[in-house]
Amino acid sequence: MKNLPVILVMLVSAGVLLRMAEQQTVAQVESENTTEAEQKIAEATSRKDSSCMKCHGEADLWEGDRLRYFITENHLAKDLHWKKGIQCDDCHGGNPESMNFREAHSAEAGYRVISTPQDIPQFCGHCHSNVEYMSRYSPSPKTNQESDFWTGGHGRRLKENPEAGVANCVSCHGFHGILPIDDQTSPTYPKNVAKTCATCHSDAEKMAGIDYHGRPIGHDQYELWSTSVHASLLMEKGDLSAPTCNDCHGNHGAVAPDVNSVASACATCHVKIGELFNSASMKHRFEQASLPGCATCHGKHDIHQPTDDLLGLDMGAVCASCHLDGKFGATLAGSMEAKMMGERLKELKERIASSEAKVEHAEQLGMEVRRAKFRLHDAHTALNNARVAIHSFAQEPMKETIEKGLSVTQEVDEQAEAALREHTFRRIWLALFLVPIAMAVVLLILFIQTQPPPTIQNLEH
Amino acid sequence: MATRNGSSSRRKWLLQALIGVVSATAAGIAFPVLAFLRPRRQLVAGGLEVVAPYKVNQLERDANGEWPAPFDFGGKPCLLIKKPDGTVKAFNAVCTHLECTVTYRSDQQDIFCNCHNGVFNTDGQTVSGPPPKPLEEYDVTLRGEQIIVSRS
Amino acid sequence: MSHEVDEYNSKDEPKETSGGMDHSPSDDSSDWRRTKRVYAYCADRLGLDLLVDLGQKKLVPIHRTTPFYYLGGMALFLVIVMFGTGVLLALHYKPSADRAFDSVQSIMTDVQFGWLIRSVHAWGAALLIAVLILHLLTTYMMRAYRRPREYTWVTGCFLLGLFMAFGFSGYLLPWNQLAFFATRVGTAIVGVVPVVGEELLIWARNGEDVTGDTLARFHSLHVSIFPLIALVLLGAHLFLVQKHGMSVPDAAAKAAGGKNRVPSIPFVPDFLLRDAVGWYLAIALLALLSAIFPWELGEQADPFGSAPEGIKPEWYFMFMFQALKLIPAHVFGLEGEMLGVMFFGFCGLIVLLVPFLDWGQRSRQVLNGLAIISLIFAIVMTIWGYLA
Repeated sequence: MKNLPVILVMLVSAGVLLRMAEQQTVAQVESENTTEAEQKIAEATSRKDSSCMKCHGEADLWEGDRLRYFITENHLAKDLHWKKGIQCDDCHGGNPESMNFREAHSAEAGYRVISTPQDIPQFCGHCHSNVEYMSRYSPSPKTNQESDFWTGGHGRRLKENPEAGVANCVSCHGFHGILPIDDQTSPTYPKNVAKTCATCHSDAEKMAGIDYHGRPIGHDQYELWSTSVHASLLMEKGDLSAPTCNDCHGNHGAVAPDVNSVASACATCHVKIGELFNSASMKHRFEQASLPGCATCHGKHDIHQPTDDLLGLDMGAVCASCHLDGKFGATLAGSMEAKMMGERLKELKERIASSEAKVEHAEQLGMEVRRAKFRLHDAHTALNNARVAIHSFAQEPMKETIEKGLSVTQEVDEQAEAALREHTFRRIWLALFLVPIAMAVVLLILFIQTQPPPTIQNLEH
Repeated sequence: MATRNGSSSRRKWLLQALIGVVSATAAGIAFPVLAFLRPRRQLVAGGLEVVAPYKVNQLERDANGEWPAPFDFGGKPCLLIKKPDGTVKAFNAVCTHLECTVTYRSDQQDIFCNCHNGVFNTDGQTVSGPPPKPLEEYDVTLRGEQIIVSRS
Repeated sequence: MSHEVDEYNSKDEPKETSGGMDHSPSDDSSDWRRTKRVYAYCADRLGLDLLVDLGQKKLVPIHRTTPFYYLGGMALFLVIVMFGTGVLLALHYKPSADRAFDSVQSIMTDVQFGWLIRSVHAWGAALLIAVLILHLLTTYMMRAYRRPREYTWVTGCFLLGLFMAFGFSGYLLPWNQLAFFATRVGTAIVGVVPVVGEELLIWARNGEDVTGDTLARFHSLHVSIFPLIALVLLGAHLFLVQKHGMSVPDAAAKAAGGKNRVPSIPFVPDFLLRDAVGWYLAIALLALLSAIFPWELGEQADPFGSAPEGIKPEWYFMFMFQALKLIPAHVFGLEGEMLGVMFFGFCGLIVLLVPFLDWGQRSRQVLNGLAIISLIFAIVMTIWGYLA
């Protein structure tokens, strides 16, 4: 009986060992099963392209110039089409099941040849212009990319001359690694669009000798745009709704907006200004003089945050450039209107600045004036609205918003002054409060002096 | 026995003056304390519950076609809208895009931001345009024709 | 009211009651008689004689370091100011994450004299801690913690810790950026305590992170739990002070040629009047600070925003904050933070046990050395913390 514990321990450990061995075999079987299943799935999914990849995925078969035909699944891994299950032959046509080169790439089997860049839009359009096909991916698909493209500057030039080297689908979208536009690494992601366009349009050599409407096209657009308020909004503040190249020039049918439709392009975002400009007489004057709407004053690509100095007749004012010299039939009377508007703006700006100074002063004195500060936003909004109203090219529409802004500044002034009064009140209160305290202290000290001096007493009571 | 001399009368005077001055300081302390106990100025029923300056029947476009302007609600503009079925809703009128103040277009049944063409529906959800988020909605309680807006 | 001091024999002054009141018992004006009647009525029924006895018995020795005795009274006065202003603030404060800041802002702007009450409460807290630290240091220097006053010292130490906890919990209540992140850092320190740290952290924050739940917890600690503990501890402390009387420092006793040859004045009213001078000066200082430098409000806490620059705790935590910032991540394979926290915990324990560690010339020298080193350390760290 002495050995009982030992036997027990042995029995238990034997049991544990057996159980472990059992689990191991189960695990092995399971792992074998999964690899088998995986293989089956892999085979099933790569059934068709396996014959394409058998040659195209073989590195040894391709060299030199032909290396571009070397395609593996790795090349395609991030591709939007590949991820949606679109196979080689869905785009390229041909017979994917044939291992014979000629048969696989034969016209009878529907193989689509790209012999010049001219063929590419059609190649993509095979699906992208097919409403029925594209409906699989989106309930109301856009299928006008190809037709748009042919109407645009790139398309027209490509049609004239297949070797012109102008952009086609793959220039911007890439090919075997096409990314969706919301992928931050995609060349068509809003933040990357300008850079993508710039690969050609900033290339002086490429742009040399190209005319657009009789003028050289130039190669400084990207550089100019980069300094614009739009670029800083998009690139620095990350506001993806801020315009980059395609927002004004269109996506696939890229052209420069027509001289008379510049305002329409700007008005897609600057709604209110667009409305005002469209109903202003100035619009027709611009049209008559073939001036490019908004761009006349604000510039094209390098559109900066406009300043109030643009308005009026002083140095740097855009109005002056026509109205002072009487160019395009501009009158001096019109310039007076601009001058008056400038003065109204200045008045509101000065009032806001003075209100701000008052609030700031109160704040520096340690007063709590957050609410007044917040109210100042409304004055700034009014100022901005007044600036918008400039585009009616008349004083009257501006008046109301200016007055609203002025009333806000008055309200803010009152609050700031109240804070300053409160500040003074606190000091007066302090002074008044300290008087009796000082008297009490003096009297207490005097009274203490009349108290008897210390005596020797038994401290251990 | 204690003798009454100048020193004693000085003590007497001092003590009386002291009692007066100490009372004055006590009053000086009591004054701010009592003032502090009073309800705070300006606000009606707490910073986050305000009686709107418009009655339900005033929620319609005026002669100029203007919808009642947003009012100050705890430092933020509050826009009141009334749907055709009479439901009143309140939103923070600050556009979620670039902080312009939105307006209600009662004829089109949507809330519109003039700055960049943002459109919200009457539930404050973005319909179109750049606003990234829906408008912040406040709670509305009706007490007869009175509208009480609150933020939980 | 009528405390006869028989030993008192001044030649220039008439014999006076040290009651200090204008009226002596021999003054038979009707006023006085009425007062006496009211007193007799109350004494009879309310046991006032006990209190009067206590007041009459208490003597305050007069010597070179007597001014140090004012510190205790000053602390008590400031505690009363804190209770008063705290109760007032609670009438307007709303303890929840989305309303706390607004309500404090409202106190500062909309409530009449709200700026004053809040600023007095905040400045008073700083002043109270300063006075308590001086009280502790001077008590140490006078060695007033010796038998039989060990537990007066111990309760005092607990009171100092409690008032620091008051400060820490109160700092969060305005729910501003600085407070939010200081609380995050401050509570994170609790988390490094070995074994129970994590549990303590969760308990202190009322959750895994500093949230509105933490605010609720801190608020309840600040306005109900801590005040109750404070009342109990304060009661014990004051009772012991009253029971044992004022301690006479060795130097003073020696200079006078024996402890019982040190001259003294009665606590009521002579010393109390002197105290009152200090209290008035404190009121004036608080009013001055509050009117000229109203306590800041800061920006509303944004739990998901990044920590603002220059987050700092209240000045009395600065030395710990700075020291923990400087300590390397790992010391002898142990976590630096944990070591630092343990070190400060150990220091606190030493301070608490001072009466029991001072058992001879040698140990006293060690204690004095440690005291000087830690004082210099705390001062240097605090200055460093503010300069950094």
